[in-house]
Amino acid sequence: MVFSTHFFLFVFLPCVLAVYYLSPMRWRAVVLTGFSYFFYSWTNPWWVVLMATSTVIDYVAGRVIAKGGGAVAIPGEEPVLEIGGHRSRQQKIALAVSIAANLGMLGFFKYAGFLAINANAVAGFLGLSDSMIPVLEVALPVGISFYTFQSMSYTIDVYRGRAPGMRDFSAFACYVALFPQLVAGPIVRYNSVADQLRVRTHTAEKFARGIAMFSLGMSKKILIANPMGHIADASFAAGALNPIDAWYGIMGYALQIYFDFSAYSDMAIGLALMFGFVFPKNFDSPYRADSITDFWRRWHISLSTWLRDYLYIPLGGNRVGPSRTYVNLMIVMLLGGLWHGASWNFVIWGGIHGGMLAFERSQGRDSPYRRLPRPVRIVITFLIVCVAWVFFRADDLPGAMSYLGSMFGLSNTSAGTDLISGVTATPYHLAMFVIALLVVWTMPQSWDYTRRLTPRRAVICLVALVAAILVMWTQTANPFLYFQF
Amino acid sequence: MSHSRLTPEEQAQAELAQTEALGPRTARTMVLVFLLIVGLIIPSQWIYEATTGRSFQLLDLFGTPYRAADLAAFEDAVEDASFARTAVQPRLQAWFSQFGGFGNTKTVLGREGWLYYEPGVSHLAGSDPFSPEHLNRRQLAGQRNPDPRPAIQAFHEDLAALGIELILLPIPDKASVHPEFLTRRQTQPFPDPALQRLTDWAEERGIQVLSVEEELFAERSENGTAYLAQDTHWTPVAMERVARFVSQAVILDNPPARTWQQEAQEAIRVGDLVDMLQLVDHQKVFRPEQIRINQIQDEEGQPWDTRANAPVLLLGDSFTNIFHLAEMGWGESAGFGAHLAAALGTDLKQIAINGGGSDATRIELSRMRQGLRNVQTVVWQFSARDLSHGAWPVVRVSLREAEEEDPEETTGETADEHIQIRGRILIGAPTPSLAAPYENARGAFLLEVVSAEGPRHPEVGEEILLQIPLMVERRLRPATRWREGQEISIAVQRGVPSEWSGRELLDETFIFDDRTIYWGLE
Repeated sequence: MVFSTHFFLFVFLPCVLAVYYLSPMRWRAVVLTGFSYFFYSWTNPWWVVLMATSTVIDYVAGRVIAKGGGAVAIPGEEPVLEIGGHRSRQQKIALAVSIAANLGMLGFFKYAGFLAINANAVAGFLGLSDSMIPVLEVALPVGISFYTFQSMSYTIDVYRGRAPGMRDFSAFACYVALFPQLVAGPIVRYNSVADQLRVRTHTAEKFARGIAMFSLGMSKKILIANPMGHIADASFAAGALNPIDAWYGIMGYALQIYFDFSAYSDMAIGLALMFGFVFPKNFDSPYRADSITDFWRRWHISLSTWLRDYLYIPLGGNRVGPSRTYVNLMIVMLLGGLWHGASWNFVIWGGIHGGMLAFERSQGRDSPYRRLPRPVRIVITFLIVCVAWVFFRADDLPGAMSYLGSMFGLSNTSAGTDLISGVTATPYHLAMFVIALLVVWTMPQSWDYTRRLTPRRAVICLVALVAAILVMWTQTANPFLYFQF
Repeated sequence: MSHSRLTPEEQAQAELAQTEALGPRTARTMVLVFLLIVGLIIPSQWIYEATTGRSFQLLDLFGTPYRAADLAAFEDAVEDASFARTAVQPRLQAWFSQFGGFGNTKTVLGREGWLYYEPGVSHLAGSDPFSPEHLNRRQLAGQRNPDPRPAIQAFHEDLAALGIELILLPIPDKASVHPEFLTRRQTQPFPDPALQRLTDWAEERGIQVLSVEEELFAERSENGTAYLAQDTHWTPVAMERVARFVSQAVILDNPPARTWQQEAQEAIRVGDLVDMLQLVDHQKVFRPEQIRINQIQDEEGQPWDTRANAPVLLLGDSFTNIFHLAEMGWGESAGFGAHLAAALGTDLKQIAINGGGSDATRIELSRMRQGLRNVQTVVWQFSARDLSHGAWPVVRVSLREAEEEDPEETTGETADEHIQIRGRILIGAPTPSLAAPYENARGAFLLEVVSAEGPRHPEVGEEILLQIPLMVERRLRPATRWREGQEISIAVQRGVPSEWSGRELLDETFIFDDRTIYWGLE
């Protein structure tokens, strides 16, 4: 079920809002959990078994860790483990089980085929054709990359002493399954919602802010992301392109993925607000970044902070000398790329960003680059990000190299090549492209825009919602890009 | 603690508390308006359904198997049935078309009122359809038979074993003949490289490919147009020119001589590409095109029709059906098959299925025991874009012993007896798209008979092929809600009615061998 569809907007959402607000306060977490499981089962009924399994394992692991000794009592709150304190063998095993179970599920569904294919390729290269591993074709459960990371963060935080263990299973199940952020984030840390799972306010102001976020997200998806997707899809489906069409296509993709993903995050945050939850923003005008380092402070913030806190810092972060720091950055970005998908394309994409992060760190704050005017730095950063997006979008490595060749005039075009502009450069698409660039570079983020929600802005948000609904009815397919991760 | 040292979560909480200028009245009004927007669509839909005698679409959820594909289809059905959507979509699409130059996923708007079929454009602009990368991508996308070559090779071999000549007749896409209205960067027609690669491959194997590109380029040069401006297909004049060209390549041994005459007629309608935009019925954005067709008639003035024992078999898609199949709106018995027969001066047998050039026509032929009886030459017409987008299953054909008179052998005739069948669906049919090129479509279901009554009824436990309308005039029929495993009870007759034999066939499993075809009576 997708947020920006007729069925979700006019059937599911009214039902869940009605049942939720008609329920007594103590039942609301259960109601939300039930509807979240129903929401998830809609895509594939069997996948709820996976999510339930992950939930039970992490809940039990959390209880074992929390009750395993070393807790510090905090008046009026659940006890937490002492930070840096001793952990028993039982606690360590519980943590290991949680991490292994989550990564094991993720590894099986997402990477088993990829690993087998590559292992077979190596075996073939070494002349070991008799040792081939069967390649399983397994459907990737939607959202598994998100909820496993989210669930793992709970047990890790409890183990580290940064969060108390959750006693109430229904509240914990609600945290894992909460449908607004279940299938495409933001990755919500348990610590940030622990209190909200127990007590949260439901006010008209909060709900209205949620409506504003949801409306802006919906309009970004329908009115901007989808037309940009049309440009990108046509461009990447074409054979060789001339450079103008190729750059137009990749910029279309850059705009598509930003508006698509940030739209989903806006809608998720908006829906969460409607149910009383406050989630942090996930994007902060990433295409206004003036360096790749800055880009990653602004793009998919919940993932980048997760990787920072649970991978980069445990590896030593930047406290282990320059060379090791660069290696750590590279490891994090390569794995971050792999998180997006089991393909060398994503690894290369991560590698490009990791390499740029390491390079920028090596240059320091007084590099010649920093002396360029900020608008120039923003354009350079955007172009680098676009080049990296080629690997993210292309179906495979040959496709990515072919597209890059087109971008830099290295392709053999044919008479049919020029036809693509008839599909992608219609007045409508060109207008939406320009509007998208203006929004990206001149307008505030949804979260910042809705911080000051005047009656005029409220009207604008609702008008945007209505416009999005009307246009939604003319569009056939409407999936969110990040569902595939 | 300053904001800069807060975690994102803490910052969010702090900023939420600082939502400015949101007074209680604004908040409550906003909430009310939002709830009205999302909350009133379904109740108003219920009122609409109750007052118009329609079934309550949402209640179908209870009869829908809880499987991903079925639930997705249910979602689509709920949206398609929405009166709000039905009211808005055509009008908004007309606005997009008129002011935004934007069609939809099927129709691309060009200049001066010209429209193009998107799959055709993407074929011409796309990668080499014979490249391993392209074929691999299509397979990963779920297409089991993306490569035309094994299918063509097998078909050629089967026909050669029967002493039958095969002529491949790929029809170039409109955008290669008339690119000038799609983009200013390409003003001259150009050969489709994929067709050249097909020709090179086929000629190495002794398979004849007739290229009609030069004929169509010449037609465009001499008469201005070779394709209809708003339609996917060629003009009558271009089609007749190609028919004469093809007739020169067909060599027959002592064919029965027939004399045909022509009668000029007018046809006027908007093109199929306008239909695909799903605009309101009396839209004013696109004006109908008026053309002149030449209907082929026999000596008695009867309109041309396919003949069972003809020496030439034409397999074709909508390029063959246009001007022949009345429901396409461009006239009757004036199509490619009729004019080819007239040019040859003999009979011609035609199996033409809209959208079925790459697969459905050969499948239909394979079901016929005597489909190749008396045939000397098979002309296999398909669209060039099928090389990039079509399904190409290997279908074996042969000439088998005739059994009792089987209605399916005589194209378009059905037995009159009605049979009542109860059956379990083993293989279902896909749901047609409302934006498809054709407004009517039928589907094929594989049924296991649970019970049957009536003359010459199938046996219990027998597997039969049931064809039934899935879409009529762009309205989905109840059979689109049938699912695998479901038991249905339906009256049927043997054979496919003539008015349906040329219409698009949606067939999930392509090879049915020796199963009798029954036609579902709704």
